[in-house]
Amino acid sequence: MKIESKNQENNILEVENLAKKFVVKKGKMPWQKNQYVNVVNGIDFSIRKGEALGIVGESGCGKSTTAKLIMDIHSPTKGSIVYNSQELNDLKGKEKKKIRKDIQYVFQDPMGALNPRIPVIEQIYEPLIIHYGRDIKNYYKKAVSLLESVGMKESHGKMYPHQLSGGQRQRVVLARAMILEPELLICDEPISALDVSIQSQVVNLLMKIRDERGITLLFISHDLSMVRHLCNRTAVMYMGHIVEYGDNETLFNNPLHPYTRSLINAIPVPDPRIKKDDIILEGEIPSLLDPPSGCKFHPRCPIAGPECSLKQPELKTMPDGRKVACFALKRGDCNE
Amino acid sequence: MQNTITNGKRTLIERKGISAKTLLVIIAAIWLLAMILIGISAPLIAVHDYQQIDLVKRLLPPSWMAGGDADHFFGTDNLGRDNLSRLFYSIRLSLLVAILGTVICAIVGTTIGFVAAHFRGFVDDIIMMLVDFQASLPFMILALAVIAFFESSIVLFIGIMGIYGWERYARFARALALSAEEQGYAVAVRTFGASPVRVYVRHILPNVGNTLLVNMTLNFPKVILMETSLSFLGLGIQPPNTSLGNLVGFGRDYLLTAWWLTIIPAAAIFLTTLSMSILGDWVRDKLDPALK
Repeated sequence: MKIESKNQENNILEVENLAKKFVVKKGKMPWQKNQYVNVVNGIDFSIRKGEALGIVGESGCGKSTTAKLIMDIHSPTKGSIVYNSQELNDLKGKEKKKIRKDIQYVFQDPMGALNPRIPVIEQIYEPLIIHYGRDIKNYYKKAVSLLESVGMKESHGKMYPHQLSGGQRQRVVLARAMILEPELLICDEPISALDVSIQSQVVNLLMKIRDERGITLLFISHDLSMVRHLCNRTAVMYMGHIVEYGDNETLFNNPLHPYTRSLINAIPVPDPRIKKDDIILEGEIPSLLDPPSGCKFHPRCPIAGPECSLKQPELKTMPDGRKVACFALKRGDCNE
Repeated sequence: MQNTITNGKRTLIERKGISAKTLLVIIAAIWLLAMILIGISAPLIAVHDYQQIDLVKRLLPPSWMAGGDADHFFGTDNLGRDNLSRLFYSIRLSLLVAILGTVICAIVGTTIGFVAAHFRGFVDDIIMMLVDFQASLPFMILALAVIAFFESSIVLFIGIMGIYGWERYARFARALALSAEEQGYAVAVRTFGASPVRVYVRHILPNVGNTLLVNMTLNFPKVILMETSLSFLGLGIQPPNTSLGNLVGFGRDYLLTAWWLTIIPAAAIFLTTLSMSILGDWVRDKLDPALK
């Protein structure tokens, strides 16, 4: 909430100090402690109304968990999620149901997100039944018009999920998420389960929806080029922390954090003559069960200094408005 | 195929292109259908009143045996009551108890299992403890205790059959619901704000129903056998009502002199439970996606 106080009125969602730990192993005896894993480690970010924010990072960095915390699929261990100046964690019953209507979620795996035994059209208008009671005739019309707006035909509505292609399924999931006319759409790796040829269809559809309906997007992906294409701002996550967070232009053209640099460096460029001399990431993500001390990135970081293994760096605002969590910035190593 | 054509002799199995197993399933289905039809139309097809006592015609053998009466196809019992009519009425009552018992049990057990899966934690622990308790206690003893305690009536008896095997449904339903809850579709409907009843009844139940249905077909013969066992012991259906277990139980005293009193109802029990098991196996194979 304190971040970007200038823009506070425009912020549709503000996440502060959000953390989630899961129990991995229960203590067998009452005096034995449970073993926890910190998946999300106190992150702050905000989304402005009408913008598209991307969250990127490797598998297991906590980006999907962040989305699920906002969606109330998991409940946070600590931290606050403020949506339109209402704290979501405090809401209960009817109020919660009403607010939940405005935030919708697009799943990574469209096959799993659809009930295999119900025709897709019924699944598209089911949220309306849940929120407004039975009025199937009107709902059906609305669902058909949505189905058409995502480029499908009315005849597809009678089909079951397994009769549709992957791209069609994801479009059905999108149509279902749109039927309650949400303000915020959270897309949790909506394209990673799809063929490359279909990925662009879905991304173009998302852009169309954003432009036509003025929907705010939270787009989670590990595909940097898609995030660059679709979003206005991007947050880079590593092992439960946001390491760099800023406008796409500055972040992609001049990444500061060594992790961001290595990620952007890993985007394939279709020109062999371009010489890559920047950081190339080596090794694996350390185990979340036994995270490294200090900065989580320091075992893989080529410019790590002695302090990196002692303390967790804080997100600091740079002169160009972005935020970076790295000790090397102070030393000036990042601006080479 | 060619071989059989040149031979000129073709059995039914070869002509229709059906396997012996399918034939068995068809026979089993026909038998069950016949049993159900007999049960429904017992008052119409029973020639005699099944409670009509005629002491002159005691212990008549079936009509095809020496000394048999054409009027009493399966003979008469020790009070001269017509065995065929009694058999029809027994099938009626036994099937009624078994079907109602199975359905009630499926509903009760599944609901309990879903409740355990939904609330988890403390509620789950208590329910699973009850399940273990029930599974480790011989049901016969529990049923005998309940019947001995309360006055035996058909309603109570159906109620007891309705909890026979609930722990199996509860275990199945809990395990299936726990894994289904992690599926995207259940999570998705919940994010729309759906009530737990909607999530479980409309979304999870149709997806896990196969397993529960197969369990029902396996449970049905067990309920019949439990019913006949209790009636055989004299604690189930009370005279003048009659069930298959009753017939076997009362015929036991005449096993050496009038075997038909025991063997015929026993054969009906045997064939019905066997048919149901065969049909259940077939249903399980049909619904198993791995075998398709």
